[in-house]
Amino acid sequence: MSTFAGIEIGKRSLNAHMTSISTAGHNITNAETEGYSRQRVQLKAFDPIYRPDLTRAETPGQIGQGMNAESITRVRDEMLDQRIVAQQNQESYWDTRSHYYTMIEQVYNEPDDVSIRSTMDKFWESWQELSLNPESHANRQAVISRGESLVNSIRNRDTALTGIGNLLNSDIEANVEQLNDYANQIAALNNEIVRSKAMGDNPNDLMDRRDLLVDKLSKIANITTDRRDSDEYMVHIDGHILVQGNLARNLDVESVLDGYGYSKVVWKDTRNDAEITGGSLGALIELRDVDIRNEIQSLNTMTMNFADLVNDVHRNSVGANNTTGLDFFVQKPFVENTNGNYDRDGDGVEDHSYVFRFTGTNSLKMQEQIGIEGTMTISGHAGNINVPYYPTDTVEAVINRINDSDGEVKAYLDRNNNLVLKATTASSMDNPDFVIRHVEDSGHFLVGYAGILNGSGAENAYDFNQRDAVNALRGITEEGAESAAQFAVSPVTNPSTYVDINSAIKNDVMSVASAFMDHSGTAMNGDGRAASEIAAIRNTKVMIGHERTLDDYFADTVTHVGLMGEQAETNMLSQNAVMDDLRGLRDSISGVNIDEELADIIKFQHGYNAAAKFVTVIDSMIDTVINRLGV
Amino acid sequence: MKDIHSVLVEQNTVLDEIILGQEKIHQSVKTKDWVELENNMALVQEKTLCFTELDSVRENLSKNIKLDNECSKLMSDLHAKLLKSKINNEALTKYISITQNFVQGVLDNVVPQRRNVLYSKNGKIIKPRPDSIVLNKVL
Repeated sequence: MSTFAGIEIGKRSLNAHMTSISTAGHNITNAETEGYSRQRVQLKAFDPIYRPDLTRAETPGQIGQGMNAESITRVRDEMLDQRIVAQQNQESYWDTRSHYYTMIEQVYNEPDDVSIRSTMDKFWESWQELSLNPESHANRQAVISRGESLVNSIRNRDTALTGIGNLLNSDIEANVEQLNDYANQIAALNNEIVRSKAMGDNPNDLMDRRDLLVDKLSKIANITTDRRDSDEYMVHIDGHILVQGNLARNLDVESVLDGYGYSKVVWKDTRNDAEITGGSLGALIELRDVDIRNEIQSLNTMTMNFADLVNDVHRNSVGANNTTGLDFFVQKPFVENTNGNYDRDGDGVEDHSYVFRFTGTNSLKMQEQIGIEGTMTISGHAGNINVPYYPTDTVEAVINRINDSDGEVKAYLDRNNNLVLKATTASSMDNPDFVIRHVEDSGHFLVGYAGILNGSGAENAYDFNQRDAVNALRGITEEGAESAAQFAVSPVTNPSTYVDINSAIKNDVMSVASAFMDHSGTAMNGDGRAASEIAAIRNTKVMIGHERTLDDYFADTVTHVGLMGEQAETNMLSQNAVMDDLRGLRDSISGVNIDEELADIIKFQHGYNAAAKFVTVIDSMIDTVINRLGV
Repeated sequence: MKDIHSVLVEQNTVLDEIILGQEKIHQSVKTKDWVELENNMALVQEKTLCFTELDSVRENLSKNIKLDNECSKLMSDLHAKLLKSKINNEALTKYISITQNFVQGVLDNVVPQRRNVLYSKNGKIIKPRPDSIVLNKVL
């Protein structure tokens, strides 16, 4: 054993204790740093001498050679981290939903005097008053004023819901940017970590930073991580790779042509749709494309249905100035073209027909047996659906069968007992709302019986995928036809935004119709039957396809929104409880305990002092040998 | 003989108690108070049986009559509360399944079990017996 071996042992001890103290100091400094995991120095005894071979010295062994700091590792439970990453997206998903449903609830909790419900009640009351005084100018003015209040409250709700939709759209874009930023940072860190590990080091702080970024990423979307290959840390989203080693893929937002002007999330490199579930981004996309869209569609359907029913009566009744044939409510049409022709793909050529409603030429009786059979084909939620009819069916049975099917076309008989087919909102975002897409009949119910189509079979079907599709309707192309099926061009997207009182009625108050024509073609004085019939719409089951009155619709809407809000809050609190448990567990393992670190510092300090004393003793012993032995 | 209005009112009251019981069950699961959990579950079970009986009475009474406005409102409230109860159930089920997955994850790491199907040399399926775990701590 060498003379100076003792000093070497002392030196190693000093270094190891200094490293331990530095690490403890690093832990204390970063006690409040987000995502920091406490680090520990792994001290290991140095290889002793002598090795058991023939060249060893003839002295008792093995003699210890001190210690050194083998590595600095962080205290982290990877399994717990994986569970937190797997669960965190649920917490932020419900948190986002709860936050936005609070906003949606505020839209429905409007003050009573401006709510749709109360303005609609007053609207019905004004018609009731007009029916009692059909000659009154003042009552007519009241009908118009209350009608204007009603359309304003409908528009206000639509504006509020659309505003939330726009906010969601902006948030989606911001979240996509944030996600891309995190992915790029993780990829850069992966690169540095691999290089550091190749040098034999433990890049603890870099790994902490990476874990923190993964944590934040897991709040945005449902991600999974893969550490099986230590050189290639991977992050997956929706089954696709987001980060692989030092490569990061990014998402992008792309505008959608049809619809509300929102954008969809796609992969930047392939431009394929990205299906994001979970996390705040998944919640935002679902809120925008499902929840808010459903609320707006529901409002539009209510508006279109109720306006249609009022117009149906008003159009067939007479004003005090003998005007007839006027709609009370009007809509802004999707296109100005009278046949509803529209250039859907934006290439400058009209290629589709946007028609909302057909009315047949023949008057039908609800309880009459039709005596014919066939199959109608109408557009549905996913593709076309078949609705059969049989000779023993009554007209009512056939209408109910159409309305109970999954079709996006509903049927009813109007005031003149003509069959009306009209389009509903579309469940798929690829299809436009309030546009009839396909109507076909293999038999004669829609052809000769109801007077809607020109002929049977696929060749005479109405299909919106062409311009002038209305030529398939009865009597449209026949010159001198006695009567032709009527049709209405589809309203612009979001009819609730544009619904208004007919300007002809606003300009001449006496055009508000309250009477029906008598056999001489004029209205009798004091006839308020039409006004009374309009007032009675209040209690009619108007939501076609569901047995609901307008009051039921309002009550159900508010209840539904309230329940969705409660569901979001209940689940959010539940997830908070789970995540608090998991995070608490993680902090107890990886968190810095200042008391523990201070106790360690004192321990290492004493160790350092003892090592220094040891070096001093060895030094004085060597001094004795050098300066005093044999002098 | 009860009339439909009183049956609906009673159903609403029972459902309110069921919802309260569900919230207490959820709380006792979170705080791991198993005695309280047992008690609340027994209470909710009792109330559920009561609700089911009342519902069959309501169904019989409402067969041939049309509900007036007040009864329609009570029905709507009942419907809304049933949905709320369903939501509470779903939230509790999710909490339990998340916690279960976590514990399962720990056990899988500690004592990995083979999940794939094993066959004997004659082609018969052998179900491997799960390894037993001894916990040397009183919980």
